[in-house]
Amino acid sequence: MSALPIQEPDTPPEDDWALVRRAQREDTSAYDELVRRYQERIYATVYHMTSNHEDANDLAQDAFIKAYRALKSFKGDSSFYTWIYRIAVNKTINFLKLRKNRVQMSLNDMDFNAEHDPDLVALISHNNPRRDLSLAELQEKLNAAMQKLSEDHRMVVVLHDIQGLTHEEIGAIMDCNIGTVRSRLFYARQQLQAYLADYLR
Amino acid sequence: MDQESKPTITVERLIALKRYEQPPPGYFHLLPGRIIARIERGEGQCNSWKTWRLSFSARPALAFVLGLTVCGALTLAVYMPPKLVDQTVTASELSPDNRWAAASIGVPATVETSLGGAAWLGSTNPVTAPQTGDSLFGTTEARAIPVSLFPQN
Repeated sequence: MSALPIQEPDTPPEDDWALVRRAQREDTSAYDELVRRYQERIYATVYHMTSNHEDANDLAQDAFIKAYRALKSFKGDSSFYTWIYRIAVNKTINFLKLRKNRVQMSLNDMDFNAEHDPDLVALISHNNPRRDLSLAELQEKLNAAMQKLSEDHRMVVVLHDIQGLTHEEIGAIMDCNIGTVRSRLFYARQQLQAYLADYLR
Repeated sequence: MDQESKPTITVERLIALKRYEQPPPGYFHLLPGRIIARIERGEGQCNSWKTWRLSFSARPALAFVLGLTVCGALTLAVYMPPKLVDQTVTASELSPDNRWAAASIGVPATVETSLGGAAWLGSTNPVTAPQTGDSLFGTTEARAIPVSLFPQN
């Protein structure tokens, strides 16, 4: 009598492409797994672009729903990761163009680990001349400075400096060449340097 | 103020502090379920009207061009009405079948249509005269075919 195959406890996770093929056959459990893999990165990208939790929640959900509906047309020319990012980025930029001049911040709380970050410790240290600077104030200043950038410049900063993506990945997501990514990043940092000069000396 | 005591921090490192901003606890535990529930409710299905509306609201220039085209077409329609033809139909011009039809519905031998004796080219009036002049569809002849509700024996 043949025994049923026993699944090894440390089975490597199913790769994205296998999950995509199952999701294309309307297997929502496979899509659920894909959402779990990328939700944090997608949400964070949208959140740092909008500086608003409610907007980020709506846009992240809409991006995943739109991706599911368009999944049948996904041929695997790029990775699922790049593709879902591209959908979220386009959706966010369109949303921001419509929302223009109606910036309403609804910021998330800082993670408790922030208190141990050496940069933050240096900024809020009692030995610092700006000791009156609170965490909340710094967070607000950072977000306000980000909101002053154009959508394209802000997106490059979010993807590179916050999400840690490479120039090549950003170029693929934003459908532009690496030179454009570099120049946008350079210009955006210059702008931010001017807005945040008080904290950078 | 002592310059030495100020922290040295680059803009990249300052912006990277935003990584610590986190949504409410448990948020990522609930998000996939919400998304799958919306998918199963059929949300996000292709709706061409909604797609159009969204594409126009995102591209005002496209909406402007379309609006201009529609206004232009309407202006042309107002200032350049379709060609009208003078039309007076006399009994002699009617075919025998049409004469019968005219008599049966009590239309006088001379029929003058409204609009100052003119009739639209596309009129469906069976007693109008055949169209004169060039036509895309060749010469037409108006005919009325008598029908009977009683079986013919």
